Amino acid sequence: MDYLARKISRAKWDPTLYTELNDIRADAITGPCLRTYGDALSLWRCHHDKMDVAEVVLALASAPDMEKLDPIDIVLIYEGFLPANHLQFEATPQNAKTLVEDLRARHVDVINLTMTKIVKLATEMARNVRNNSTFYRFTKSQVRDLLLFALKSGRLNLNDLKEKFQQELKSR
Amino acid sequence: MSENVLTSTVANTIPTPWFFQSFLEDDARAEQPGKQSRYGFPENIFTPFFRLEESSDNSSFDCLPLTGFPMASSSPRMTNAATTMKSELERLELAFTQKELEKILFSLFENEPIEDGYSHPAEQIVEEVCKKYKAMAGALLQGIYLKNVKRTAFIASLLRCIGRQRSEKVAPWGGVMAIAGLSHSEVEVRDAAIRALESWGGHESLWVLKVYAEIETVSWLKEYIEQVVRDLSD
Repeated sequence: MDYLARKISRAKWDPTLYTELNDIRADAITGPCLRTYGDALSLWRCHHDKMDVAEVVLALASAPDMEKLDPIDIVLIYEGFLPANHLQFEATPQNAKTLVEDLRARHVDVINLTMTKIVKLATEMARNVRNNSTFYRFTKSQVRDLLLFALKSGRLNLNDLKEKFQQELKSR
Repeated sequence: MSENVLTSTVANTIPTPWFFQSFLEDDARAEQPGKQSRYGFPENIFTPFFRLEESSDNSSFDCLPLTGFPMASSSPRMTNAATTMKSELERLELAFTQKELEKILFSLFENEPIEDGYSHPAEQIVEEVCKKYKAMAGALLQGIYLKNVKRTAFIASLLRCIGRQRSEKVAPWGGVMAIAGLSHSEVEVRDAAIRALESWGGHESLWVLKVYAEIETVSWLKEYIEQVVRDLSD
């Protein structure tokens, strides 16, 4: 596993009428895509392979506080990029917000982040998103299928999900 | 200004518009009228706010805060003037509500952007509008959409909130708004429109997306549409 995955809102990362070449919209940085807590950013380890990225999507979609079935956008960052740019990260399975136990070990936090470091990370994410090399979108239907399969295989317990989310999962 | 004859005459002659009537009934049921919701807005924001009174020079009508709007009954003797007043009242009420609603939605989107997988407080507002205004909800929200068509983030957020409602609650105007969103110059709005159509599903959404897949030029969005078409075709 030599990549780190982050959930983003893809549309926020596209250039717009007022952005210059390689510029990034402020909404992409100040919104949920790069929201930090305690100067740390949550990421998930994975391979550069859609099947493995699906595991990260499952981890994210099975967060205990998940309420809505939505498409999920994922961007991958090469793990080696972080030390090369003085970005520290550590394994934090205890911080993993997922109900699928076997995915907790994949969770890492990029720590001691500053504005300069966030901009470095955002620049790399924008580059990866825009050249489409390490960007994945899972549709609502694909996210539902991943969750249903996890329920069927016993990796996830339906009753642990929020009631509203359970209902949405059942309706088609 | 002394007691105005026109105000009382009109108020007692014009039947209460159907959407006013339901508000008045709701208000009567409310245990604590005017209490603050958890988002800091009064819970009765959708009740009528004003009444019309003839201005002092008899040339126009003033819009005054509503206190105890009288319950009116329909009368076969309704005059043309009264009919005009009624439609004017409805038009003003909608315009006023639209302005207030726009402010509320803008404030909510500014405070907290919509995040995939999580509910947003504006969804409840949109749901409430659909419930209270029924067929008129479309006119209200389309009006807000058109007025803010250049504010990309705002209308994308609005479309996403509408897309998160049940399809039957926003039909047919929700679909019309989504189709309008597909022709927007900004990717964020087109993405929100496709998400809405994906969420509602059905033959109409599938047909629109199949046609639109041929037009979209942004590669990742085109791939998304094609995948949704496959998902909805299954």
